[in-house]
Amino acid sequence: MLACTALAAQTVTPAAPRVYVAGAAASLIEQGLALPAPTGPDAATFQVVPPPSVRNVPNVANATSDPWIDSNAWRFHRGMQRASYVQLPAGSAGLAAAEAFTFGMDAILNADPADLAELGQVLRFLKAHDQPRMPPLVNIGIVDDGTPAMGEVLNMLTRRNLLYRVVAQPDRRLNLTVQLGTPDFPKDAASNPSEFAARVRAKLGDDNRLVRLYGTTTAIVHLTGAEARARLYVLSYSRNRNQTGLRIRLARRYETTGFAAYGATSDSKVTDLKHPGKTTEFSLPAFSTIAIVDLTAIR
Amino acid sequence: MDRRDFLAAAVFLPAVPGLSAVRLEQRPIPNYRVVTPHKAPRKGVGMPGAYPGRVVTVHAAACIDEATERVDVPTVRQMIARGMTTLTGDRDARDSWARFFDAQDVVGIKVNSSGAPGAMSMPEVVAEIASNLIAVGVKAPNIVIHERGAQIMTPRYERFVPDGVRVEASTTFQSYDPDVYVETNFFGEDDTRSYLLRVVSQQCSKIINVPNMKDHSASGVTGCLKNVAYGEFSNVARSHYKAQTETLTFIGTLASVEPLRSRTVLNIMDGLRGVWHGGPFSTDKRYRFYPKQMKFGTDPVAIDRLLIDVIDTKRKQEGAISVWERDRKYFGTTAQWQADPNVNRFDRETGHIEYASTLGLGVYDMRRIQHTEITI
Repeated sequence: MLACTALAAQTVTPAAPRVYVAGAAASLIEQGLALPAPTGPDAATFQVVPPPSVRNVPNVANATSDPWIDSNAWRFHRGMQRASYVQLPAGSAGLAAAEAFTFGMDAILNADPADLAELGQVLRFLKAHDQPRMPPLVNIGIVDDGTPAMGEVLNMLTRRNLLYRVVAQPDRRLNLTVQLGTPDFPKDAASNPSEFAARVRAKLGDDNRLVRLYGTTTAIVHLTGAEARARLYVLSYSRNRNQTGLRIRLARRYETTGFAAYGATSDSKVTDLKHPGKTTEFSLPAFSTIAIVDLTAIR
Repeated sequence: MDRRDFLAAAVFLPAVPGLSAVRLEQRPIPNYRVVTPHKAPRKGVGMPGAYPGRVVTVHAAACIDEATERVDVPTVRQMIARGMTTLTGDRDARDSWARFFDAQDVVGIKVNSSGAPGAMSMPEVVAEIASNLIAVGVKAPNIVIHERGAQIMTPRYERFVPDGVRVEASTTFQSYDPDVYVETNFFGEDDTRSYLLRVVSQQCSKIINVPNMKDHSASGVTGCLKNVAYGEFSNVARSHYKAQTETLTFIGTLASVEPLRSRTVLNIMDGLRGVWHGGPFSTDKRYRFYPKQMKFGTDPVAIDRLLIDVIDTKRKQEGAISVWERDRKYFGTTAQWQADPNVNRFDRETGHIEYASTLGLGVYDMRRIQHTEITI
């Protein structure tokens, strides 16, 4: 069995992400929650991304009729630095803001006017719970050949919460390196990204996954950390952005030191903390859009 | 893709007398990991309980009006009294109930309201059960009508039951006990755990299982076993994928988990109204029928074995394919299945009942089932 090692993907702490707004969102600028969208050459440094969303694709996405999450996380993992959500349909701006915040992206949000009040609340929440960024914790390395097929593989790994980073060459410090053309991952295997992601999962082994989620099929996690501290972001891509609670398993022993969840009641908290073996399990209460759990490693 | 962890196929069908291997396929079972801190209590507690293999069926033509679907409460009261006394051999129904329950108990009534209002554990039946519990000393607030999901609010049980009896919907993850679950990977799904409701593991000392008589597109029929298994655990729909379903083994496996198994001490199948096709959720009146009966027992397998015949007989009367039919020529889309009772959408796993018998949950062999039928 592979030893489970979470490796910090970067040694440089990224700067806090900045949020820019366009269109009718001037009020958010006045409230100090966002900056005016850049123009000219600076605007060209932002790459256009689609809105985060979810679709129901019965018997394609997964076992039964699991929702198909459209997240931009894989684009961010692939090296995108600045994202422009040029068209955010009503109901998606808050999640777009949370998505960009979670992955440390500078982002332009072109929100539907109907979303501005909600977006303001989400931005206020994110601002209140921002902290100096820690690097992502991953244990899978992906040698990215830059092809669209590999992009879809990254997308599927993200959707399955298999925590990875893109590497230029195999990294022995990671539990698993995925490189097309190797015996475990032949080139033609990428033609079916869903099955390819399942192959990666099987090769790593569920016990070695850094994060497991139970009770949801519409959440994507991002784990960051440095030394003994860690922070877990949980993004909700459900149609109404709500999660009715879920359980989390982490492949390391932690105690929880902080919890914040958008849309949760003020007295909500992490519950049922257990440490089966060398892991940590706990439950999150109902929340909307994003939850953040701060953790400290214990022996 | 290697999407399944299998145990050796040989472990599937142990040499159990009476097992009809013709109907149970020799196929490998998923690798189930059962996690629970609860130990099985002494033998004879819970399923199959005090009366393994014994089933009492009470028929009453007056129990429901087919035109109005109005339930005749006095008839239901009489059916329950006769069913219980015949099951236990007591003269007084209170003595029968007192064999199972006392003032110290917190009793969960596991209803089935997934097809409500068209098909459900009838509120009048549930209310009569609650009244009998109170009559033997169970406090009304210690009676919890429950099931997974919000559909339980549709029948408005609170309008029928004695004051103080609780009706609980389980609509958030906090409703589930993180310490009791079954973990398995059926088809490559990411969420591999099914958790037991806290109401079962942390509130109730005993459970009365009150299923309906329904056809089920995946499990063939749905009765006692499926009502406590799929109705008390989370994340069970993952056992269906395209035409395949793992209900064959998952239902019995879930029903066997402690403390669900030992706390489910009585099964009362509400067969006033049933569904002969399109189950379990069908709202199509064409597929509704009126068996006008109730079944009583502690053995869920024996009751469900008899249920197979009730549903299959009705299907034959209607010219529909059998609940055992698995020929792919009958396969169709969900829309086709809804419109035509001669269409399947899954490989029906009616054998889940026989499989449950191999787990010790009850008696499947008709020669060993002691079936008493009463008509009032």
